[in-house]
Amino acid sequence: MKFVVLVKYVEITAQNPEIASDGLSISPSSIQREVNEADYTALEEALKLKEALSTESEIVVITLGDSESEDGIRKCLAMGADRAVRIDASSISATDPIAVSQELAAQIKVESPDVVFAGSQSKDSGHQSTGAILATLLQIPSVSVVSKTDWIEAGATLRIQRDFEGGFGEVLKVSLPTLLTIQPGINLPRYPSFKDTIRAKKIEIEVKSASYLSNPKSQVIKYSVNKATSQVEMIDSNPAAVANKIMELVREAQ
Amino acid sequence: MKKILIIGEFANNQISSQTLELVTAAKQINGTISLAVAAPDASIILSKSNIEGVSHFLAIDLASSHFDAKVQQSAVSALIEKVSPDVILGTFNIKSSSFVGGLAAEYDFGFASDVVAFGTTPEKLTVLRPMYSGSVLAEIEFITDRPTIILLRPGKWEPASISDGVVTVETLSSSAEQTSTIEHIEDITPEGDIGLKRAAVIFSIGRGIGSAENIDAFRAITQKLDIPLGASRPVIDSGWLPHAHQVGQTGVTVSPKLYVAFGISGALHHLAGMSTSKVIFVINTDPSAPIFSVAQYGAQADILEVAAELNKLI
Repeated sequence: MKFVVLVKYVEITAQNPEIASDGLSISPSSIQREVNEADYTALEEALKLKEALSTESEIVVITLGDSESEDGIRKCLAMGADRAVRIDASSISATDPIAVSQELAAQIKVESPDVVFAGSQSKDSGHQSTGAILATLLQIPSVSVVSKTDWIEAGATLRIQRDFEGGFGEVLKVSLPTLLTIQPGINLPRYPSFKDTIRAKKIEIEVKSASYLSNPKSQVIKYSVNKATSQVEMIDSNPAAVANKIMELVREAQ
Repeated sequence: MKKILIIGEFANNQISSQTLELVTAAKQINGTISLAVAAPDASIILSKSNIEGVSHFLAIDLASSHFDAKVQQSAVSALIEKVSPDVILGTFNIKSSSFVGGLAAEYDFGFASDVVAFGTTPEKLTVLRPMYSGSVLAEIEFITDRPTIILLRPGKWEPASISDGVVTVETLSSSAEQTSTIEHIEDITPEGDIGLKRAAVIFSIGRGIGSAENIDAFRAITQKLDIPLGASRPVIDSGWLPHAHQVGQTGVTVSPKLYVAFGISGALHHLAGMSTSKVIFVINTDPSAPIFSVAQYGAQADILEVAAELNKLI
């Protein structure tokens, strides 16, 4: 049986990132990269389900990203993924969620997996929609924002817990094939050993070229610093001064 | 004139306040507004929802109250085919997010989610959405002649007014079938209520608390102030506080006058649950923590030292 885990090597910015004067890109000096937290969680969940099987199974990581993304993919291979495929694309070309999903769907179809895992949301674009779009493109049922997975019948049916807003949720029985989007924080992704990190360096990452990104239905026409969220007034960090300020605000609010 | 279709939702057997926000947003677009809901008893509930600005009400009465993305998707498909809208608006929440993107793919429509405002580009509907955990605002243009589906972030528009009075509802049937591969086993309901939703002031703790023992100082402070103690997911996932304390997308959504965040980094799912608070004060030793981006006040300080000082003051 086969699992596909979708992984994104996301871009992280500090507050007030530098934006190019044409408004069409964010300065590389303002960007750091990391594997999307929820994607690590999704991979850990896949590894856990794989380990509970007595039969042979495989985990394939698929990413859409630039060559730098391979740094993140190697970490996933070190954690225990068996293979990886990278669809070559720059992050700036990949802002339309439909076009991105079309690329991913084409590659997932090649692998024909039993379960597709994705993080519930990416930290950079945050559409929280790739799972739903892919489920339609792949014509398989999906469950979003999953907080627990276990085999009911190993390799055939899963017991899934999913959360809604406000503490509501439900438990479901899901047959394969299926697509699940996993919430960050529901497990503790394993930390690869030095030996695994070395082993992962030797695994060849298959690179595919993108074909749908050139025809997106939406594009970013302007990036700007989010003024609504860049107005923080930093106060004296002396603990007594901080406590005084908190109590002043508490009195105003009550 | 554009034809606008709002995908509405119910909460406690009435139209949700988030759906009323969509109506206000729709009024910003020059067009006629249709509002549709696919849910059990949708026609009856909608017939008592006299919402200002809506000219056409449509309902699909579903048999089951259990949410199923596929059933919702095919019901809304029937509504789209009935109305032939130019713009479709929905709420950016977990349920909508789990099927609306699929509709866009099915119909080859433009799509954007977590939209907080419309752009000002004349003649063209552009949308603004936060990216990079809120530090950047991106203006998105749709480059298609096809309709667009847009999911709006809750809390960004005022709810439209609703009054008593009977409205005419067009009831459609849907070919939606219960999926055979997903079977409902049981519901999960919220555990307890510690008063987070009603509180004027909330103090919340995050991963920065470090250990379960360190929570005691904050318990003492919040008990003395008679306010609830909130927490971000890592504190709940570690088992240090029960679920009822969780503020965030899958926990409780709060909007107090004052929200003080101690040692919370500000993951998207936490921000989704508290960023509409009137005043946000963030205390964190890491100045690059994303939560500073939604704060009015910030301090780069050790939360346990601040807690000790607070305990002296109260």
